[in-house]
Amino acid sequence: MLEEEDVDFEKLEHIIQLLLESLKDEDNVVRWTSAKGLGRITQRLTKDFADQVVEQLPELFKETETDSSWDGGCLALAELCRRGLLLPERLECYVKVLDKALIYDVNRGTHTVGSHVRDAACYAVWSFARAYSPEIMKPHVHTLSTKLIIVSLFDREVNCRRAASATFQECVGRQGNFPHGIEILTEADYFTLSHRTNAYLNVSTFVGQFPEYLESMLEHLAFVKL
Amino acid sequence: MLAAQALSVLSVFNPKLVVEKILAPLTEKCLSKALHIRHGAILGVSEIVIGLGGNSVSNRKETLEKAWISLSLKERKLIKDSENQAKFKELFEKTSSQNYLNEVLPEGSEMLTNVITIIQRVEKERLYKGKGGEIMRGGVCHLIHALATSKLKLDDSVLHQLVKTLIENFKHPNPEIQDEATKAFKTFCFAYLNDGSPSLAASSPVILEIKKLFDPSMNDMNIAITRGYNMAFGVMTQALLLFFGKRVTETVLANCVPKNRESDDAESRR
Repeated sequence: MLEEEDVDFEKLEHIIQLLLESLKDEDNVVRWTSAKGLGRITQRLTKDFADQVVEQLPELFKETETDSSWDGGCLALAELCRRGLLLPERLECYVKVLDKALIYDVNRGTHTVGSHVRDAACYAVWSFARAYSPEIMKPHVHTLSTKLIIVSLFDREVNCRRAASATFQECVGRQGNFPHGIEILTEADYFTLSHRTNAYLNVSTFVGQFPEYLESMLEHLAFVKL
Repeated sequence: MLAAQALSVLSVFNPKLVVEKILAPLTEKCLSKALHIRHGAILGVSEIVIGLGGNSVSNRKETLEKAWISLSLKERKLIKDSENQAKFKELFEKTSSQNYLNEVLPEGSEMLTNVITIIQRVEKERLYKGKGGEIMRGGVCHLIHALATSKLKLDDSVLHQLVKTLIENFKHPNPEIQDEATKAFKTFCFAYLNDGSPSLAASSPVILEIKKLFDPSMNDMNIAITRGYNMAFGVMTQALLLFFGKRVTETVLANCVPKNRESDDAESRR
């Protein structure tokens, strides 16, 4: 077991800085490995030091940042949360970020980018569901449940629809307070959501019968998708 | 389009909310300067009108059937409705086949007028123009299709305006726009030019406008016009065909024969 005096903090700080920078890397594998590395190192730090690392993460989600930065940020959030390093006090701030990340889609001329961000955001919410107790998550259930439903039904990419559906399943199982969770899960599963037309026109009608989700579904379709 | 259709099927769950919170802002966005926004908005308005008119199920069925053709048997089996979903479907079909328009968009209401006048406003502001602006023509045709599918009561002057718009779109060289116009004209004829329709009279401005199609469909040098107008003859209702008597059949028969002119067009004969 290392003692505090055995650690060269200057070097450690340099390494953490490098990992935080690498979260913005253009390459997916680099971002992913950095997030995991950051998780492992932060786990071994004291609470104060760990919190200092966590404080750096909102920088990655600025409007001016690239899609790679948002993706890296989501992966880091998920890794830190999975290891129990995100304090519940910070949850509100990160739920707001994930609310945007779950529907992240940026126009780049003839195409849009952001499916990797949405996928990573689903992973982050999945880790939230596993890390926090239902009491802590309760104030954010509405935000997260409606967004997850929107992504699982109306995302363009099949991997994002499936990721959101799996996350919703995890939330229903672990938290238990997602409205009509079990009923929705039985209809909106891995297979039924695999086909976009089926998700949009068939499964969506089943979910639409629940007023908790209807308004945000309609608003998303009319003002984001159209 | 898929998003607009999803709006159509979901609108029946809370028609009042849809009209107040979705339809109102969407009608404004139909005149947006950004082409993709106004095109999406006009499709959205059209599909909401179809949905609230009680026609979303047939609309959805067509799209789902097209999508299912591309799937293998194994895939179809995996996606197949569960018992719960099948039960819900029956209920949904009942709910969605009701006409909510009289309730939430009553005759003479401001919102209904806003929806009906979208086409006029789009034309007035010349929103067909600009790079890629022609896709707005498809959107406008879809709105006419939606108004006719829902059988909204429209004045003679509005009907006249709609027919003029459709005829303009029949002339367009892009076959996709001609197809959209034909689809809209077909529903338009079923809704407003069928047995007992007041517009089916010799002095009606709609009929006078349609009469103008006969000569150019045979003699015009522009092949887009001959193609488009002949497509229009193909979707007329029985009542309309009987009203014009032999004139339609004679024109179409004459158009099937090559005239040994430079403007002869195989697509028009097809």
